[in-house]
Amino acid sequence: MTDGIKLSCEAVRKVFMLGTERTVALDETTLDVYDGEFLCLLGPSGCGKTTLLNLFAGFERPTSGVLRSNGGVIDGPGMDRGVVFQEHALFPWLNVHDNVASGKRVRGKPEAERSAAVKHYLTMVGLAEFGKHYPRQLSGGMRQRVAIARGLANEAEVLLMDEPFAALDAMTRSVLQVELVRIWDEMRKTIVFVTHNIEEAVFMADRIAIMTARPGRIQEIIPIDLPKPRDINSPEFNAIEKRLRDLVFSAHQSGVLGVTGSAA
Amino acid sequence: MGPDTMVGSRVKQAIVPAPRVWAAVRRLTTLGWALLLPLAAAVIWQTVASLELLPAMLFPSVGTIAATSFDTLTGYSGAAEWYSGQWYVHALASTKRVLLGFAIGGALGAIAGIAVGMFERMEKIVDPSVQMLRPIPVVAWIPLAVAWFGIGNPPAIFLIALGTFFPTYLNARHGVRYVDPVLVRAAQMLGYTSGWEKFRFVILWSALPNIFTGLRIGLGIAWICVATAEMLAVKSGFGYMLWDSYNFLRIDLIITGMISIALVGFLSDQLMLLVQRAIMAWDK
Repeated sequence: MTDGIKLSCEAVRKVFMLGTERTVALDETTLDVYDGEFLCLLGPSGCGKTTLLNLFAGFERPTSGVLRSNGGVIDGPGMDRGVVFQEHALFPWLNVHDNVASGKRVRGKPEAERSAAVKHYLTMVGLAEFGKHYPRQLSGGMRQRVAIARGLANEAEVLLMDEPFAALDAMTRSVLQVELVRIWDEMRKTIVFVTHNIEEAVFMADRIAIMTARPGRIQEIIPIDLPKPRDINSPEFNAIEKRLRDLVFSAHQSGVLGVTGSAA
Repeated sequence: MGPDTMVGSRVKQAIVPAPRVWAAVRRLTTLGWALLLPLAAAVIWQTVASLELLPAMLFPSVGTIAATSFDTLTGYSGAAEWYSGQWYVHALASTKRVLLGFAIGGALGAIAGIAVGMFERMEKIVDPSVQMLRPIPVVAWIPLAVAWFGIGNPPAIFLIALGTFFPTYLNARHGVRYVDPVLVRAAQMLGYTSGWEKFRFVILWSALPNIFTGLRIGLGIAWICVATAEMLAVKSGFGYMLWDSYNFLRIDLIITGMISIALVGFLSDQLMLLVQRAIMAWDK
């Protein structure tokens, strides 16, 4: 590990070809994610934030540039990087307990240690009583809790979260935001969290990387120094939120007004 | 509003019987509904029979058919003559063929469908040929099957396997092909990165509902095939019983044979459903 940098991408460019049409999803993207930090990728839809997350996850390869995890080049998915998807992506044929125990590292453990780990993480996400339930018997919020527990139980060093709360109702969403901050505080795992919700980003992040669209780029990185847990009604919170709103709006404007997809 | 509903629910609780009794009542009700149309058909049949538009030999009464059917089961009255008490012999003969042909065709169909769904190269090689063979009706294979295998079980089992193969193949292929890619990614990030691991951990389970659908359709077709094959290629089973009875113009026996195929086919589908539910516990 180098200088506490957990994940990094250097001059990353990602071009998608759809038939004969080229779309530059990401361009000249350079970013370091520090060990133990909570980083939000914030931007409008189509700005390449999910693409960047998928590159970190190893699901996609960059067209050019390099991504690293713990200093080593990322060349595919790895257990060091757990992913929480927008749609829970739990295995419907496994009950909650078995889903949390489905990681390869967890499965490799002796029985006693394994069930202790599952119990520990289910308790952490508040679902200790639901081990025997199947995913379809759970609400959307509960499913995402299981998905988080699944990533943690497999001892992922980094959690990559792709708008995990976007499909939830507002109330469930804010409860889960509070809980995620609590879990992060407890474990100090590195979290990269994709969102288009400014308030969500300001509530949780240590740093926010604001992205612009077409081509996707990181426009600015804003550190949020407010102590956690944060009060969304405090004047400091509102001031930061307003500043970000202006930044995102101008980024969005330049994206809309810029000539689309013409880069290179 | 509050107190009223309270009283309402209390009254309801007092009336509702114990859960087990309730489940039994519900099952009987389901059975009752299912028997409604067959009973109506019997009534219409009997009405037409009473009009005597056709001689009783060609359009026997419900009573005659019931008596003949009963006799094939029990050998009680001899009304079914050489089929008296012989129902089980023919049921067993047909069932054996179906099971064997279904096992062969289902296994091959599932394996081929999975392979083609998994590997693009396999699809390019195998799929066009399968799609070309598929429109050939099973009946059209009978001359060839009999010419090659002679009269007996082998041509019948061949035809049943053939009939079972196609739906199982198509559904297994579809199930494997349309696995949710997010689930595959989830498996990858959990450490299952090799092709075999992805298959064992995600793809097979995801495709299971489709594979079962294919097998159930295949089993239904297997019963169609067994009756067809037995009319021409063997000397036992319900299909043979049908054709043999026609040669002696025993319409009551023909109907008995048809009802037998329907019932045994239905029963085998229900058994298949039980197996499916046992394996796919998460789905129900």
